[in-house]
Amino acid sequence: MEGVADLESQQVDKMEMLTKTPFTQKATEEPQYKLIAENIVASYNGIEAVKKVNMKFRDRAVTALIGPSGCGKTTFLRCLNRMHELTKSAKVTGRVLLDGQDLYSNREDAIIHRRKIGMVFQKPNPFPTMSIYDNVAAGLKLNGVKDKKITDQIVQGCLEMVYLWDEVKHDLKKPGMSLSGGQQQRLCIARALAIQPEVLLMDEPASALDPIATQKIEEMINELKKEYTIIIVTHNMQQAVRVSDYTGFMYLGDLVEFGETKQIFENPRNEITAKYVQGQFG
Amino acid sequence: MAIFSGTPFGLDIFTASVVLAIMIIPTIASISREIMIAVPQSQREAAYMLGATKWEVFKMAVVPYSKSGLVGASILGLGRAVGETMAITMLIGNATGQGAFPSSLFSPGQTLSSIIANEFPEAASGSLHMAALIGCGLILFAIAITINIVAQLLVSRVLKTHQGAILA
Amino acid sequence: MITIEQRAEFRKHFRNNISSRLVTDKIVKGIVFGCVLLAIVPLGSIILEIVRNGVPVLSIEFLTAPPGAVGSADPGGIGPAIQGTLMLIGMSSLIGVPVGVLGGIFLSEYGNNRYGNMIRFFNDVLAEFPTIVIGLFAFAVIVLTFGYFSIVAGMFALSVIMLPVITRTTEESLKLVPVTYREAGYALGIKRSVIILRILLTSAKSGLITGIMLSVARVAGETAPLIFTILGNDDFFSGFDQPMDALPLRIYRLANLPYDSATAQGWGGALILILIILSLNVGVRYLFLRKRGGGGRFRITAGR
Repeated sequence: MEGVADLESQQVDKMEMLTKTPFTQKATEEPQYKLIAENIVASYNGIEAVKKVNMKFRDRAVTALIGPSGCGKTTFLRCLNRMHELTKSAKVTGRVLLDGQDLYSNREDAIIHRRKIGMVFQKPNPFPTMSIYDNVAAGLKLNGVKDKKITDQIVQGCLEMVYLWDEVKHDLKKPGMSLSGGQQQRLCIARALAIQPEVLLMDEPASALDPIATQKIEEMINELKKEYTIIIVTHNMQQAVRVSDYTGFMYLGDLVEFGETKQIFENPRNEITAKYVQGQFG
Repeated sequence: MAIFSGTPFGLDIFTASVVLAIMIIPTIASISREIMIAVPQSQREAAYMLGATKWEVFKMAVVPYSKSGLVGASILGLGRAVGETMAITMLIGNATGQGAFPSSLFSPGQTLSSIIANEFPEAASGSLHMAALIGCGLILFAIAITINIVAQLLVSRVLKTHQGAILA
Repeated sequence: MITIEQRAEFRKHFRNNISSRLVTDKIVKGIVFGCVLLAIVPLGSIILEIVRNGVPVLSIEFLTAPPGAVGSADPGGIGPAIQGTLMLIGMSSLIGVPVGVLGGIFLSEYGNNRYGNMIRFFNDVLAEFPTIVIGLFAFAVIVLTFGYFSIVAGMFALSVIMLPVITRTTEESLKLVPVTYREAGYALGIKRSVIILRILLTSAKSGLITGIMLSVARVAGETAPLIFTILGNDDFFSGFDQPMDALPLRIYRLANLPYDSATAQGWGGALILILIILSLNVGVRYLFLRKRGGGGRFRITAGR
C-alpha cells in the first residue's frame, strides 16, 4: 500500500515536472538539475564579489561551496534566493533557474521564489518574541495555511526532521530564545522546512556551534538530502567531505573548480584548489 | 457634540495641537528610525526567507523587536510637546480665569508653559505671583521628568545592543 | 517525519494569496508615503513662507539699526537682536562645548560602569527637557542672585541646554572610532591622555562638529529661556549686567504686535535666524572638515 502511494506520488512529481519544465525531457539522460545559476555577477558598493559564476545543482544531493574568507561564496549563495539584493547598495545580474523558471525575471516573484528556496543563516536567528511553535509556524501563517490540524502536523513533522521534537515537545509555548545555540539553529532549519521548500540553502549552519551540535546538524543534512536539493557554504573542509556529494571551490569571486567531492579533495585538477584543500592557505 | 461646539477663530486648542503635532514629528521620526535601524538585519532576512512582503517583514521582524522603543520614541515626542512654550503661547489664545477651562476644541485655553511665559513679565520678583509661576514650573518639571525617565528607559532598552546615536 | 505524500498534501493547504498580499503591501506603502508627504509639506511651506515674506524687508538698515518706537513710521531694524544672538551663541559655546566634549570623553573612555550609565541616562533625560524649566532655573540661580537680567544669565541657560546634546554626540562619535586605534596607541606605549587628545578626537572630528552644530542650531532658536534671563530690550550691547536682545525673542515680540510692518519685520528676523544657523553650519564644516574633501556632507539642521 505504502509502496503504491509512493510510486503514485513519484509519478505525480514527474508529471508536474514535465508540465512545468519542458526541457527536462531531453535532460532525462543527463543528470537532473534542480537549480541552475547562469552568469551570476554580484557586486557590493560597486565592488564585484562574485564574477560571472555558472553552476548547476543536482536534485536530491548536497553541494558544498568552499573557499577562503571573502571569496564570495556566501554572496553567491544569497543570490540564489535573491537575498543579496536586500543589502544596501548591492547589485546582481544573471539568471537563476529553478526547474527552468528564471527567478530574476520578475521583481515581485521574488517573494514566491523565496518560499520555494529555504535558507538557514550563519547564526541562529529565531524570532525572539515568538514561541517555539510560532517560530516554526510563522511561514505557514504567511502563506495562508489556516487549518490548525495541518499546522500542528507540519510543526511536529519539521521538528522531528531536525531531531528537535523530543527535546521540546513539552515546551512548545516557550520562547524560541530559551533554547541552546544548537537547538536554536535546528529550530531555524525547522522554520525553513515548514514552508515546504524544494531547495535548502545553508550558510555555514554549524559555524557557531560546538562539535556535538555540529554532528547533529550533519546527520540531519544526510537525512534531508533524500528529499531536498541542499547547497551548503562551509569553512570546514572535513565537513564538506562528510556531508556533500559535490563541491565547488571559489576563489576571489570565481568558481575555480566544481566536481564530485571525492575528486575535488583527492584529485583536484586546479593548482589553487589543491593548495587550498591541502590547507596551505585559507 | 460639545467638544466641537463654538466658532473656531484660530487661536484655540485645536490650532495649537495641530502645530504641536507637526513640531514633534521630527523628534519621533528620528528616534524611531534609530530604533528600527537597531533591529538586526538577520531578523529581517529570516522573514524575507519565509516569503514575506516588505510590510509583512515589518510586522513580523521589526515591530516585535522594537515595540517598546517605538513607544518610548512617542513618549519622548510627548515630552517635547509638554515643554513647548513659545509656539503654544502664540496660538492657544491664553484664556484666563474660569474661561481657561476649555469648553470645546475650538475654545482658547492655556498650558503650564504658556502661563509662565505670558505672565512672567508682569510678575514682580519676590511677589506671590512670581512664586506661583515658579510653582507652575515645578509642576511642569515633575511631569516632564516622569515622562522623560519612562521614555528613556524604554528607548535605551532597545538601543542597548546598538551603538547608534540618539541625536536630540 | 514528513513523508513525500504528506508533503504533497501539505502543499495543497498553501494558498496562492500572493497577489492580495502584494496589494496590501502596496496600500501600506502608499499610506507611509502619504505620511512622509504630510510631514514634509509643513516644513517646505515654512521655509517658503519665511523666504517669501522675509526677503522684502531685508535692507542694510534692517540688519544694523536698532528697533524704532512701537507703531511709528520708522520701524527701525533688528541690529541689537542679531548682535545678541551671535554673542549668546559664542558665549554659551564657550562653556557648553568644552564641558560637553569633556563629558563625552568621560562617558566614552571612563564611563563603562554604573556611574557612567547613570550619568548617561540623566544626560539623555536632560537633553529632552523642557527649556522653559531650564530658563526658570537660570532665573532663580543667576538673575535673582545678582538682582539683574543679563546676557550672562542667558548664556548660562543656553549652555545648560547645549551640554547634553554635545555630551551625547561626542560619546557616540568617540565610540565609533575603532578599538584598534586605541590598541595601536597603547601598543606604542602612548599615554592614555595623549591617545584621547591626539588620536581619538581627531578621528571623531566630523561627529564632534556635527554634534556641536546641532546644539548651536538648537540654542540659537530658543526663545522661552531667554524671557527669564536676558529679558530683551531695544539697545545694542552695553555691559554684561544689562538686559539684551536676541533674534528669537525679537521675532516673538514683533509677531505679537498688531502692526503689519512689525509682522513683516518678524518674518525678516526669522529669515535672518535661519540664514545665521545655516551659514554657521556650512562655515564651520568648511573650516574644519575641508581636508576630508567630502563637500557634500552638510546636514542642514534648523533650530526647533
